Amino acid sequence: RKWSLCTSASVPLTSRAMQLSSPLSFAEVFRRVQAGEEVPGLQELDVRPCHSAPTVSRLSRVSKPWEKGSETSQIPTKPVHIQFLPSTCALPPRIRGCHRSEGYDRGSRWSWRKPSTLPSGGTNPTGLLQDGQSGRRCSHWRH
Amino acid sequence: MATFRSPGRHGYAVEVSPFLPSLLACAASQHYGIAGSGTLFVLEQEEAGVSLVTSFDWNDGLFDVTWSENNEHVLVTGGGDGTVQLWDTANPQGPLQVLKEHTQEVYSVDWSQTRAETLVVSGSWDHTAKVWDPERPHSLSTLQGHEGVIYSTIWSPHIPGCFASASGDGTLRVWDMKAGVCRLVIPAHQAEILTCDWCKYDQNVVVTGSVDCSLCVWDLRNVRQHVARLTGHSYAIRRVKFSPFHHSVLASCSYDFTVRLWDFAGSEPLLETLEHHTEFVCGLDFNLHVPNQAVLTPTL
Repeated sequence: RKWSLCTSASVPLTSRAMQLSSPLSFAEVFRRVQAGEEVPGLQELDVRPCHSAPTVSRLSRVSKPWEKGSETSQIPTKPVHIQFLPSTCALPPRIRGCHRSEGYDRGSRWSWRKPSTLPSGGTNPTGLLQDGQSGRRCSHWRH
Repeated sequence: MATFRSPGRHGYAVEVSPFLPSLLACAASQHYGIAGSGTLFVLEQEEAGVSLVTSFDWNDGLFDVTWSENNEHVLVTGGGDGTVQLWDTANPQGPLQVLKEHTQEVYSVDWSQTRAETLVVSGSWDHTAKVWDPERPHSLSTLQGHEGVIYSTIWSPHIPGCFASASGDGTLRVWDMKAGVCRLVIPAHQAEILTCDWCKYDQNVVVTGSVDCSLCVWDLRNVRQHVARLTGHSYAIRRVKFSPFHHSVLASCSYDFTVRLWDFAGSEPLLETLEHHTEFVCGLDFNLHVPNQAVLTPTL
């Protein structure tokens, strides 16, 4: 069963926080955080717990497929795919080969591998490039 | 393919409701999770596409989400401020509870799968995993042993009180929550392990996904050698999930922008590569209710 396309226009802005967000590139946000500069649109929320009891459940637990012993003999080869995209003017630059890890300093949650430990390929596997720039690398290598 | 665009938010994790086949939750963060706040989206799949049911903002980025297994309204998320939050889809006032014990980012949360218990496990960059009773304000136990950040904590779908954790120290650990001890340490990769999952049809089989771009399938009865090693991703594997409908089928997503479907028991393990994304793919899930609805993926 295929799901038809849902465009961004059909998704309402449901919170003030979402409306305030700025479409900065990944590289620019990372650079600003590393440099201790202000990130535009940064929200300092103060959400607090309401300490309420949860809404009473009306549904009984559904048995899992493996609890029913309903393993399928056929392997799904065309899975339905639902995609989530940030609604920004331009998608962030393709920055490959990085993953979340301990920050080098407060607020940084990304790290980059040295070139020797990165998979080969990609246009910028060794660090961050600003849009339209070249040769600019992240100086915070993870050892 | 349906697309949901989240204004100013970047998805980290997604999970389909265990009660309602059309309902799913997505944990997302502002500014790619580097800085700023987070949002929990509750979405519904309809004929016309994916629509927003409700959303909740949190003070810091949200990195993982899990649905309650005993209440269709309740979700749990893990945040960048070291907190675990309990939410009620029918209560717009904010989180029901906020559990604060971890000292660094909570990167993984999972609700227990077996019917014998109602527990949540959280994994953090403070190198610890904590087990919680969602109705209590303090953790039941803190499990220490990893020498690196914990990226993934997943309950066994078969063995009560048992969960696995994947860490930046390159090991997969299997824990006995009741005894409060680590039962098994597997040096699964020579690189950080970002994700793991249990086979749904064999209680001894787990899979790990690593920064080394490979997936390794393990039989816990003999961990000297992996059962299978699946290669094909060109960058770090961010998340892996076993199919709920087939013992040897699994899906993985990666920083190479792809989602891949595998059958580790097959002669040609790679079944399909989905290349819909233009950025890092951070999360995926299978729909428990619909066999042919295999993969859901948020993106950074």
